[in-house]
Amino acid sequence: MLAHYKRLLDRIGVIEQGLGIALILLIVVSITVQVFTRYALDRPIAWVEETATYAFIWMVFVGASLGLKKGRHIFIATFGSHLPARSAAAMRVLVWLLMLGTLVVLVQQGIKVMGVEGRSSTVSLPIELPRSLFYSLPLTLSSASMAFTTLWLLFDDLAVLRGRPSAAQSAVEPTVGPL
Amino acid sequence: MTLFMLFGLLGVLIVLQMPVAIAMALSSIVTITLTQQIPLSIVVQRMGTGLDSFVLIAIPLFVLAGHLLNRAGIAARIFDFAAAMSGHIRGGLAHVNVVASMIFAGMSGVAQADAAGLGVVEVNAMRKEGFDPAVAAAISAASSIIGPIIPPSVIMVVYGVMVQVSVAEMFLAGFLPGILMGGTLMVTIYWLVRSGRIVAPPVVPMSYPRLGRTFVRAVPALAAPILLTVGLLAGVATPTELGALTVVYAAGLGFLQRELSMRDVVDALRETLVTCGVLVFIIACAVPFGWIVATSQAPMKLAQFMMSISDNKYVILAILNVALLIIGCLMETTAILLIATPTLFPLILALGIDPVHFGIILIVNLLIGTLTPPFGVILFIMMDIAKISLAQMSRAVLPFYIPLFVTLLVVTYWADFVLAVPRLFGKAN
Repeated sequence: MLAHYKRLLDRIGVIEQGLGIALILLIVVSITVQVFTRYALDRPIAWVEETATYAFIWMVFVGASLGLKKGRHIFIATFGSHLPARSAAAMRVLVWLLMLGTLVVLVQQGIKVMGVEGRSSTVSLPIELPRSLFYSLPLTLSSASMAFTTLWLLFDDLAVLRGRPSAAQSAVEPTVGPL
Repeated sequence: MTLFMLFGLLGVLIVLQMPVAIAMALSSIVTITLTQQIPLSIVVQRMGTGLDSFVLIAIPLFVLAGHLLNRAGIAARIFDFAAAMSGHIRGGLAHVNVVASMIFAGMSGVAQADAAGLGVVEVNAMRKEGFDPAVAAAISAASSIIGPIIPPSVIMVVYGVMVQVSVAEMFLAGFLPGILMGGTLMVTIYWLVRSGRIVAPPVVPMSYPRLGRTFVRAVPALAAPILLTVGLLAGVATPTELGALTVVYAAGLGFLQRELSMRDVVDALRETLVTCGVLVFIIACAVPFGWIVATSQAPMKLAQFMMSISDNKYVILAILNVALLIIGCLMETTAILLIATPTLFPLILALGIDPVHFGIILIVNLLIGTLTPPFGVILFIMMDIAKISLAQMSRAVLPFYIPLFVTLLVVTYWADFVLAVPRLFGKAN
């Protein structure tokens, strides 16, 4: 059961990765095109900048939920590594529960915001799109995806509490800070 | 009261090892629900719109450029050229390490990228020549933090967006402090070698043919920081655009020299996606957090309180530096930057300190924090590369705090030094 759930998460991760990489490429290409059109053609295309910004917002939220699947979110190692395995798992269970609550609130509020933002539309794109598509939608989807991942992490640590080995903790990539 | 709740919750959650981003979001959500009269959805909305900034896009671009340059074998070429240039100075490769880091800093904006990419080349070369691995790791760690001081710099982008100063101006202000940090590091190395505290292998005599040969090999790599600097000084493109152009240049160079495969590019993109997603998500989660801090009047009260201790800005800067250094030992850099900036900014304005000047002080300070145990990211990366323990690493890095603190002092108390380059190019007052 848990293995099936994990496979589903992995599939979501593959989609997120593909989408995120495509978005980074879109950012690079659109900004390069913008510089080119400004200097070579002396006629900048106004909506390119907006495209890059929206692609960036989506990229961030997609990258954040992929980062959680890879265990790459930054936390500060305090005393967790000094605890016996089961106590550490118990501490993580508490953290996952709190995280799940936070993410559910974000999803819930995100949906509410979508309703409001959906009433105004984009400024300079050639086609008019609701603004919610670029602000609250990625936030909501990303929070939902992270909530599903957190649920798996929670089940995994509950299994540890029952004396089974952890699948998540052994798969964690080394955490390297971003700056 | 509101702030006690906010910071208390954040502290507890962080001690429980909750990811920093979610801990910031949760403590803000709880505080707003219990103490504020505004609907939660307004704050959540700001998390998305807070990222609507063309300047912030520079972050993934410079991170990607750094990954591509690392994978395109450019670190090794720069190292070879630096070796031909400064290998004859007493201490040999130890100086080369610093010079190579300074050059590499001109195209990479993340200390971790410098440590993990160039760091491997540096530590391996120094170990092969007979340096103690701990010394090699310590010097590589200290020199890698020059990366985000000499432009480009991801952390400067974050700061610039937060306080709304020009990122180009921040970049220009980083030049002299970065060069000073490199110079003082080299002086320290020279002194350590002379006094026998570092056992250095005999120097390689200066060879002009070798210098010429390595220079030719390094030209395409050297062109990147030079083009970037010129672009910045001449103001022909915004930092974000320069980031995109650096990516295109790095990829083109890597393919032309056949050192970059499609697989490398995909790896670089994947790594950029995850590191930037995680980093900028913290920024999004810090938006509601910063909003509570800013509306609580606490920064104003802090400013009044600090001004009541002393109205001398040099005294207050000294207090701030000590406080930030202590926090830097315990906390993660991005989180401190995101919390400290809105908290301290009214004080800085009240003291009449230039925001660009303060940004450089803050950034140099926070980067020193990445070199201090128990939470020093750069130390951990270098320990892993050199296969040494935290105790060995911490001991070896000790003497190198001297040049870093000297740099911090100069940067703190000599505003004209920091602002000289931005002024020269008409970007500052």
